[in-house]
Amino acid sequence: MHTLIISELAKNFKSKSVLDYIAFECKTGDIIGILGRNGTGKSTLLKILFGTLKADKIRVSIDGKNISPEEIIPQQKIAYLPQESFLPKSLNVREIVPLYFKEGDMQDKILYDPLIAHIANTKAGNLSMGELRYFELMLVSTLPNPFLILDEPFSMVETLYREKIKEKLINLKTTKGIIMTDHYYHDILETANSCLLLRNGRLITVNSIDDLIGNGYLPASNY
Amino acid sequence: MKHPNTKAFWLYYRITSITNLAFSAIFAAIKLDFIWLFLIYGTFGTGVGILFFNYYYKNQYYFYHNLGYTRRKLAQNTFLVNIPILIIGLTLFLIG
Repeated sequence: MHTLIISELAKNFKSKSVLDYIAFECKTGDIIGILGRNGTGKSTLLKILFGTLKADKIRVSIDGKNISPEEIIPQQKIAYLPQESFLPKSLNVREIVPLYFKEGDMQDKILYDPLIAHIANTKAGNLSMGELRYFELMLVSTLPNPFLILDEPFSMVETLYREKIKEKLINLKTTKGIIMTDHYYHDILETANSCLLLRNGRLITVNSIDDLIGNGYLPASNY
Repeated sequence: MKHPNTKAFWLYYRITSITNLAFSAIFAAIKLDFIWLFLIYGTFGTGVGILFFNYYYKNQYYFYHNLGYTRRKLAQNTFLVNIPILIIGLTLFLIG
């Protein structure tokens, strides 16, 4: 069991406060879904957690030990699926996997996955959005890092792959703590065991569509 | 860093080095002196290769971050490979 605790997270862009002393924790077994309208700071929050964007203030602790944001990447405690593809487009799936995993059994786990086997010889740049997202998720989730951050894993992904991604995430939570954000709120509400809405720099707990309407994320007229 | 997968680093190195080599070769051609190829490749050209990667492949940094490589570590390792190339190249050039 691993625990990630974030506290006192503050980030301003010029005079605008994007994240206003946010605090939350994620444990193995958690899938925390973060919702929010465009520009509310969801991706900013995830990048700060992964250590690729500097916060004005933050405290991070993993398994009771304080960790500096600069050490998050070198210590490989968190794996990250960014919003846009991060794979070298000119390499095919079979060439990419050994760059992530030396061990043959780990490579086989990915290459023999039913949704990946048939695209093994396809270049990353030629994969469909669903194939690409699923393959990227397989790569980052197979890493031993105990926490996984996903920035829009469902966006632009066809239904078949969305369902497979949800299935995969539910299986993954037995070994990892997952934090994800997306605009596909149905998928988030369905998959996450805890949902937070980022609004005015603060995180608000939400449990249902009604909560999303009540907090101004969804228009009441559509429901 | 735990268990670094050096294969991934060599991919980064290859991408940055293609730009570096092209830049260094152009510089040496302008100067009409082969020694500049090594001088630039091991110094300024390395920086140019890294800047090229930052500009054209920015999102691919996440590929390396997930393996524990920070931008700084990738740049440091690239210089660590290129500086001996510079020294060996210059030595051979001066001996020859």
